[in-house]
Amino acid sequence: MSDPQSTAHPAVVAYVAAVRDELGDLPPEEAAEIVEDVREHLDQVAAEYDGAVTHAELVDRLGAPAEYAAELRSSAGLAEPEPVAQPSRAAFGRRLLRVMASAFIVATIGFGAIAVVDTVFSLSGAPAMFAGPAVVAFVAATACVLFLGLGQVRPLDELRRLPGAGRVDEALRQLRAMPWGQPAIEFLGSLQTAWWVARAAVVGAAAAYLGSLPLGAAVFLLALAVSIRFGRLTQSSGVGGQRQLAVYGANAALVVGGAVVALAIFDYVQQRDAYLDAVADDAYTDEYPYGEPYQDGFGGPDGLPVDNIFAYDADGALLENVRLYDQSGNPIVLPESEPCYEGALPEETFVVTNPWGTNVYPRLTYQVDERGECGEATLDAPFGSHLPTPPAADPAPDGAGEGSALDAPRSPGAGTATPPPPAKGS
Amino acid sequence: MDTSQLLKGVLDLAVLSVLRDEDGYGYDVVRRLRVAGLDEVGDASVYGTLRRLYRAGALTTYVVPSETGPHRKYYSVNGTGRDMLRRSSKTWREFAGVMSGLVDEETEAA
Repeated sequence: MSDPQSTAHPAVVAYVAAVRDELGDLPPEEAAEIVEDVREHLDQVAAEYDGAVTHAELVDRLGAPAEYAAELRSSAGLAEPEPVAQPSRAAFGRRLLRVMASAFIVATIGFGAIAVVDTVFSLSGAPAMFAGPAVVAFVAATACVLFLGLGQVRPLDELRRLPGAGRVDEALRQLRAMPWGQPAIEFLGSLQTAWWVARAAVVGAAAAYLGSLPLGAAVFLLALAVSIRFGRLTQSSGVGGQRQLAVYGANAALVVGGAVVALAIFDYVQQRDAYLDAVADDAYTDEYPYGEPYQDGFGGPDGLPVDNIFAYDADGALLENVRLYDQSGNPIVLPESEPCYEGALPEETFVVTNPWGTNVYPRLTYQVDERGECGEATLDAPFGSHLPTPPAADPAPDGAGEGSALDAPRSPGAGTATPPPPAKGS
Repeated sequence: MDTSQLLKGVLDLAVLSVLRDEDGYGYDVVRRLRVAGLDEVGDASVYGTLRRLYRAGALTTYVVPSETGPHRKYYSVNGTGRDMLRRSSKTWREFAGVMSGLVDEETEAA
């Protein structure tokens, strides 16, 4: 006879879980004890096959899990499972609800896991796409369980009757068998206090959102007191039956509320970041790209874009054909208007590029006449070829020309202005 | 005649009997019953019977850790169990005697 194997075989695990499902109506402690015996039994049987036992072999030897459970029940003198003899419409409804609850729980876990992974690794950028269905599935699952638990003496036992509860039990048992399993479960249990605070925080956050921050703080403190009081009551099993159901329902509602609040905050942060990014982009495009001509031009005080520059020297004489550069040596090129065309509106003006270059000023202007013709390009200086009023209040900056002779213009003619000066800069 | 039907009524007695002299764990009890000739006894029935006797206070249990496999829950017949065994044995012998007499008469008559 071979020694029993310590490792659980998949076939054994599945068989035990199936038996566990059949015993779902028994009190949890009793069911757990029986399942422990069944597991020991199955392990011994599996050992006879040197561990390589299949589900079919187990069924051949012991009967189907349902038969095994029925045989065990009758010989142990346990209550028969709920009257299957009368498969009434209500019983069918309950079974359907259980299947639905199971399916919704699976959907919650699935979508929730995807949403978490999606958020952590920023895969889609829209985790709400998965978190939304997860929340909906959770609400649906909770509704199913609450409905099942209504009117039951031990509402939470309904959870154990859901299809697949046996497998969850089995998984938990295997978890406990791990060296780190028990500490991990105890650690999760110790987080209960944190949950009491968290659910109060959800209520407080909701109040702060709907009302004001001080209101939220006050509500949070109040909710914290209630939450801890209820938590301790539930822990000491002071709350049972329908009240227990109500407490768990409220917890579920708070989880949903918390998830929605978290989603809203996440969405807000994302939109704010996107907004800030857009603003930063705008700020960047306002800067002139290095080494390229000025494209956007300047706005004048009258709001019209600047499309021409008239430079007068210290004596008030108009300078012609001046090349302009900025501090970086970039040519200052103002935007150009479209070329003048016949049939344009009378008195419309068109500024054309100076033949010496795009950054040479002043530029010439076409003034459309009454017949809609462009005519000759002229130099359309706003103050003419010479500033009308000598800037007497503005002496030479270096004080060298104290005579300044501004009252005696020396170069009245525009034609006397310099030819294109050599390009500045080294 | 289906032995499994007969077994149902006497499984308590059978289980108590194989545990009378030596404690045993569940699967061990199944094997002892098989070795004794009760081939048709179902595993689950034995485990269920052990559980019922335990809850009735006729058996005590203790767990023996095993180095090579799962822990084994050993069953031991206590005072209540021995009383129960004594009474059940008496009932069985009377019943079996009556049945044997009945069956033998029938056989002789035939």
